[in-house]
Amino acid sequence: MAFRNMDIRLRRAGSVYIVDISGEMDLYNAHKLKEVVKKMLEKGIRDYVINVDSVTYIDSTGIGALMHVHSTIKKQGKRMLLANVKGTVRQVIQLTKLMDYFDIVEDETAALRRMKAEA
Amino acid sequence: MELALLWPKLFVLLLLALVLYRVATLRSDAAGREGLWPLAAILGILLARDLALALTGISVILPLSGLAVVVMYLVWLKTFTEWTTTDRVYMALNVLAVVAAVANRLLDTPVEVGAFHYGLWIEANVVYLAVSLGLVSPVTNENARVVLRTRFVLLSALALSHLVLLLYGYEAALVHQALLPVTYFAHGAVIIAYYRWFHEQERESVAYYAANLESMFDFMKNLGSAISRRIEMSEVLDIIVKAASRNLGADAGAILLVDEYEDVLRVRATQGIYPPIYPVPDIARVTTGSIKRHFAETPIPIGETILGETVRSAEPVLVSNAAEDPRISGNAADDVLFVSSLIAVPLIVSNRVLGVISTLKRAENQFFDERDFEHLRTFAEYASVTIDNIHTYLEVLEKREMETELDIAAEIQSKLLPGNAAPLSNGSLASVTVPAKGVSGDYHDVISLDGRRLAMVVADVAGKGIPAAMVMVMVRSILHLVVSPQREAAAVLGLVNRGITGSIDLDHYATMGYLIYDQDSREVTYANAAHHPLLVYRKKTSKLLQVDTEGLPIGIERDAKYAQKRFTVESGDMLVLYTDGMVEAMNEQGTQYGLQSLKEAVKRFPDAEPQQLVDNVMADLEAFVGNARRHDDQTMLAMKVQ
Amino acid sequence: MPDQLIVDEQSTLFDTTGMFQKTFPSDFRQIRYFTLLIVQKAPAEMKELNILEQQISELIKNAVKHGNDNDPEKQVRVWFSFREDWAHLIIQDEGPGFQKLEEWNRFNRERNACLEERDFEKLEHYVSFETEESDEYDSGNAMFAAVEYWNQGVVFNEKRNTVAVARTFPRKRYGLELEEEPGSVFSSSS
Repeated sequence: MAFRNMDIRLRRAGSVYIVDISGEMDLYNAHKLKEVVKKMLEKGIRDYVINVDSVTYIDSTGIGALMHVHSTIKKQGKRMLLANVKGTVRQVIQLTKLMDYFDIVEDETAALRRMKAEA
Repeated sequence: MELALLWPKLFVLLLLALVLYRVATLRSDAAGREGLWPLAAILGILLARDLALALTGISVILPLSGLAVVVMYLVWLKTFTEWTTTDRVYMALNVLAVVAAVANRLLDTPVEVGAFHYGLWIEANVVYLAVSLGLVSPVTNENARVVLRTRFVLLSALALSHLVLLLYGYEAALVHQALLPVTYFAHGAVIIAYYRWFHEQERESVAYYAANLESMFDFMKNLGSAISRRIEMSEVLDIIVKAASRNLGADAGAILLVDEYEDVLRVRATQGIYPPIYPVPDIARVTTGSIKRHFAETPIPIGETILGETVRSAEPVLVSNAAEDPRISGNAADDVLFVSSLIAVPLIVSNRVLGVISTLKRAENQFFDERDFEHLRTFAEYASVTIDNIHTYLEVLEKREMETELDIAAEIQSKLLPGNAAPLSNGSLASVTVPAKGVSGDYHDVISLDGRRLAMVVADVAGKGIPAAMVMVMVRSILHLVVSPQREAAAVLGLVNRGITGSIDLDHYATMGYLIYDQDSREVTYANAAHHPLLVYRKKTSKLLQVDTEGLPIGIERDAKYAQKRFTVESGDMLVLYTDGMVEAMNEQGTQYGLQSLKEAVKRFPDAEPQQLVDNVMADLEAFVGNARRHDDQTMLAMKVQ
Repeated sequence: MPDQLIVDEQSTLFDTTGMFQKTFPSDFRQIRYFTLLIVQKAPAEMKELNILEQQISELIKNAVKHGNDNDPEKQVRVWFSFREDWAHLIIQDEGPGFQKLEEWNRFNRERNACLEERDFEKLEHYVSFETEESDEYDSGNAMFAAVEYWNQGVVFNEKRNTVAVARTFPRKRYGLELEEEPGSVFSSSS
């Protein structure tokens, strides 16, 4: 498999887990997100904030991965928010008309605020 | 009638006529000039009366002329206001009265009409005139200044003089010696009032232009210092709109510019709270902040609302009283969005409308006037030129920055390329790179490994500009690090690939051809990372061979493996390396030069030295490409085996 | 532009006059590299090169993966031309062609209906356009975005193994042009 830069880090803010993705979410890498979220779900984590601030590139496979985790998390009755959707990432989501499909919040602060409010 | 009394009257009349003439020539564009001709008519009536009285002595001329004067004063008043139906009825009654008086004189009637009746009738006229004068309001009629100043004198003179006439009759000496001349001065007062008024207008306009100029100089100074500090369009627009608002005593101002892509206007600077003049959703009018924000963020399609219309028509517009204009009155009843007066002027420079500047008054009974309108138009002209200048400057700057970037990349590239190839003891080398503007992707090098071996490299970095140049720097650094006499060609490629892949965030791909030549054994080893094949011209057979190996480009896969081919060469053989830019060069018809043409060009000069060969082949390529644009760097290396 | 894929061998978008041409082996690993080689011919003044690059790489991925089955023996031929306000590509693979085109159009229509009705649960079924040939990595989103992005159309040839796409970009303009010279406050005609 081609080595391409994509990094996934986890942070915690109370009971909310923030998944920081950096680099390129493309056809070579996107599956990593699915794997990470799968493991987190097995551990019983309920609240997810997927932070795409540092994502420099995303293609259809990357979108597919986001949709996959969104749907999986939702089906298990848990919550997922998408934060810092800007630049090319925003454009691609707009082109696929999925802006309303995802739960998009402006940034991390807004995400945590919403999680708290809807707890 | 004594003729002696004629001369003083005529003298006074002449004086008044001269003054009137002087007033008439004072200002050709003064407001209220229409009022002068009735006055001239009055002087004419008085002259005619005096002459007629002196010559004929018919006393009825006095009341007749008296009536004519009063009527003429009404006509004079009507040059400032409108004729109403009442006025027409009044005139009709006067005509009837004159006819009746004449009839009474000529025919035999039972009733004797005399001075008393005339006097009474004229006083009734004076009363009517007084009422009409009284109705003139300074608020609605600016030019009525002269009426307001003189009406008291006028009415008093007319009323009193005709009262005297009424009581003493038209024959009394008192009348002719004292009264009439005095009344002349009353008329004179009106004429002099005009004189004063025109003078005032002169002074006011001078003062106005001086103030205008002063504020323009102030404004220009502010603008100048802002621009010299830092050239930023938003800051400049801010200064313009604030200065314009301040100067006009406006409550709010805004500058909107035409969007670069869509046919809409976007708010670029505001002063005060400029409320939207189009319907606003409830949620946006919650606070003044939200109103301000809503206006600032809402683009206005060109042609819509008074602002969009101003831009489309390129015509400035003054809406003195917003309540009377359907275009703005939509929000008029709204407290929060109230506007009392508006001016909008398009920003135009050399046949292009850049946008619009607009100021508002937002208080009851506060209105802009023509003067303010002209003021803002002056502002707008200056602002347009300034905006245009800054725009041009920023464009040039951006272009310059882009070119500088490209220049930097080109410089990096040229610094990395070898100057003169190291001469070999029994071989010789030549190389050339013809860079294309803005690309800077080709790299080539000749590295001496030890006394008898050298390495030749040619590489084509994907991408262009500074990022490509940076990748080139890395490739060169890593190459020089890993190259050693013991290392095989394929291994070198593998190491360079490893070093590049994944270590930097940029797109980092390149094709590369790497060749090791041993002068003593005349052995050539060639390894290829998706680059064009090595061309080998065999002197003995006059054949041109291609040597190629399998391999990915550099930077794709960290663990990619590369292969190499080894063969020997003989004296007179020529090795040629080249890049994409040579075989993919297009002529104006869109045909590519192609590998075939390159091969043929090489074969055409079997005995040439490397430099000659390179020059000739490049010349052939030049001839083919002609005037078509160059899209890629062109690189060629040639080595002749001695 | 219609929200669907079209088959029209006569389309002007298939005219290759004046276009660059490159041929690539169907190597999945090199898709980003090929895309870069293509995009480097685009003028630097072009807006939004990032999204353009991304959309082009999707098309090449389709050709490599679905058209040529990742078989490096098979070639992908690309014609391309760019201007500040225009991008035009033709991509050809050696595969059997996109025979399920009409089904995809129907699928897309249904997907759009879900979006309009905001029926997000139903939308989950329209994530990937699966056929016998596709696998779990095929999200199908690429074509949804492509149909939106290439505003001059996504056109296939009869055989459906060649697709032509084009997009116009709005030209930057400075102010609006006037028909005649207006009067000036400073001129005597005020």
